[in-house]
Amino acid sequence: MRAWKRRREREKLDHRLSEDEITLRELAARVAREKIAPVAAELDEREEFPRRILEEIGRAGLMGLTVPERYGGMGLGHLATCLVIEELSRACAGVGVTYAASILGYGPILLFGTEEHKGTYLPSMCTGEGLGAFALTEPQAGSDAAAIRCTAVPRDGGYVISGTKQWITNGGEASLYTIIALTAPQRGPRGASALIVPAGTPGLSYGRKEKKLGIRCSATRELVFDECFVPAANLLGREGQGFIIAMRNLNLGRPGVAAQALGIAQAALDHSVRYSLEREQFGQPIGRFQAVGHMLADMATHIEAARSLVYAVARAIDSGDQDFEREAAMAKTFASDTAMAAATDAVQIFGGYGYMRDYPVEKLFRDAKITQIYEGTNQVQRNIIAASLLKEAARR
Amino acid sequence: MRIVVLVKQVPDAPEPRLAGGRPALDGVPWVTNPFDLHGLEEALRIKEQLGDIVETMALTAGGARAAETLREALAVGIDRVLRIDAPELQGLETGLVTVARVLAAAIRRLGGADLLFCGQKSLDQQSGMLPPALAEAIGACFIPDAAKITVDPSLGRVAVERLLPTGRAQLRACLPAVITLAKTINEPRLASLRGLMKAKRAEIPCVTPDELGVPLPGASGPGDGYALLGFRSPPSRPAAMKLEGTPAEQARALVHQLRQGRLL
Ligand SMILES: Cc1cc2nc3c(=O)[nH]c(=O)nc-3n(C[C@H](O)[C@H](O)[C@H](O)COP(=O)(O)OP(=O)(O)OC[C@H]3O[C@@H](n4cnc5c(N)ncnc54)[C@H](O)[C@@H]3O)c2cc1C
Repeated sequence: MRAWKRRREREKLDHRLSEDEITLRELAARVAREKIAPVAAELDEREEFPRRILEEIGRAGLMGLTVPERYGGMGLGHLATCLVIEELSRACAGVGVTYAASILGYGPILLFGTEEHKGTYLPSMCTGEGLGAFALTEPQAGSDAAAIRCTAVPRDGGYVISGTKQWITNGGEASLYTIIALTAPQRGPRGASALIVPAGTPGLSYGRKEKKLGIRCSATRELVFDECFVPAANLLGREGQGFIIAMRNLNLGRPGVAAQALGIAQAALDHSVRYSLEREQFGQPIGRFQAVGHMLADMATHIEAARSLVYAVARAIDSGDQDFEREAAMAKTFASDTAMAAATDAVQIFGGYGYMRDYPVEKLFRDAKITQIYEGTNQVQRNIIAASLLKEAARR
Repeated sequence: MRIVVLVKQVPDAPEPRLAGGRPALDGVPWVTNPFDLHGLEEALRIKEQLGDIVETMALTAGGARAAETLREALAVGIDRVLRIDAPELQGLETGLVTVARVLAAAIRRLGGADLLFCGQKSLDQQSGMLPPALAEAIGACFIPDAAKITVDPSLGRVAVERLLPTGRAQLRACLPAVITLAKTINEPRLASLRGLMKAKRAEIPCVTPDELGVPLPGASGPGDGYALLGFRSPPSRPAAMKLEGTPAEQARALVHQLRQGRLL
């Protein structure tokens, strides 16, 4: 009866969000609360892809936020995207990554696509019918992305793609893949190019859905290319630009992973605060024990700090800042470390109950871990931050 | 063909306190009566089915704040809205017959309606009496608890399935008809981002009862024999008791309590 009821939370820091941004966040929160939260545990348990939820998100007009209006999008920016990913991830990080990975999939088209690419592929990304995926990683090329071996040999007015991509989010579910493959293997990483491969292209098949620790409703699969032909028109940018495109795309995606981590961390805090008031031991709510209260305090402090950083980076990108790689890496690292710490403490606060599947923090704990790993591990992010600091100092 | 959906903004206070003999609503959020959302959804679905021959409208009576409820209607895709600027029609100050008369005048002002959708009841008053009063005021037929509605615009009539405790009844009604919708009839959609943005900037037209030619009872208008005398809280319930021990001990204690209360 009261499922429709809106719980207006007071946000102490409003991060100077505009009225429109608050409207957007509230809509995403409503979708999360009404459509995602009730089924999140079940989807996780059954490892079921959230197809219906994506349709709901699409109907709410939240797909394709950064796509220009003339291609059916909302023409909004990265802050808007972060607000949505954060709210979705608060209810289920698996849904959050599915949503974010789609953006990563069509991102290269937004950045480097021709008018024709955009007109052909972007509209369906905005309705919830289409879904994107981005494929860079291979079995022997993880952090060392330059070690990719997948080839796309020019032939007959197009490219013949051979090789495998590993652990591709939305693999097998997406309608559109952008992949990085070697069009000139002899040139090494400089011979890499970005190509559009629509689902259903002959020669593209999928491995089984991976069994994962967390974000279990999201689909992670291998893409297998066996003499898969795409026309030359499917090349994004120029031949040899593959890694430039991949890195631009991943840099822009980093605040998104950070927002996913923020959502997980906030959910951990929300559950922990409520439980600390409800659970009584030694005749008082456990939140009264300073040891528990301090865990809550640290969680909340780190979350606010992470949020400030993530939103600041997203705003910088939206205002046209080109030099944000270091800060984007900081946001991803800090927010994901915050999520892992918050989820760990949440399990601690719940005690034995926190270790049980019946309570929500167990899932948060499993979901948090991936945010420290994918889209560049936190070690690699720290490498980026350090390299950027040293480079800047050397230039002075 | 015009469908008018009646929507009401209600205080979301499951257990309101009384202050000075009136419900204390300070700080209580106001929301669109959840029962009314089914009317909006049904109107939208009929329009999606029949196309542009259908015009959907939402009508509310209430103070300035009630414009938010109409914005929600615009956001999900309702074509036009109208607010009757009269907060006294929202509470219990005014008799339902008068409220129905004012709404009927507004509907005439809008150019009439073929179908009028209402929620089964409102969260705050829960009388469910307004829809039949409205049907009477505009001379429309009245059907409660519709679980399915099929419109035949060419024939000017509507087929309705009504939920009964023992099954379903099939009904047919001429237009205009006032229909209250069962909660099971549909699942109300969420507004889209585009809809919300558009609705936020929309002008919400409004008229007063005087402008509609139906002055309210009291100051300027005639009495309607209805007066609100006051509110009382329900008697507070005795504190609950928790029985401890093994299941067998709890059962024994429960039987003991029931015997003591002469309930067994
Ligand atoms: C669930 C999931 C979804 C994914 N989705 C996608 C996707 O959609 N598209 C895609 O292309 N990829 C995807 N990936 C791949 C992901 O981005 C990689 O897993 C990640 O980049 C790390 O690569 P790796 O797993 O091979 O680890 P490795 O590179 O083998 O690293 C192993 C360890 O060594 C450390 N290490 C490696 N190099 C260095 C270094 N130079 N300095 C310090 N430490 C180092 C790492 O930090 C890590 O701790 C996904 C992975 C997972 C698990």
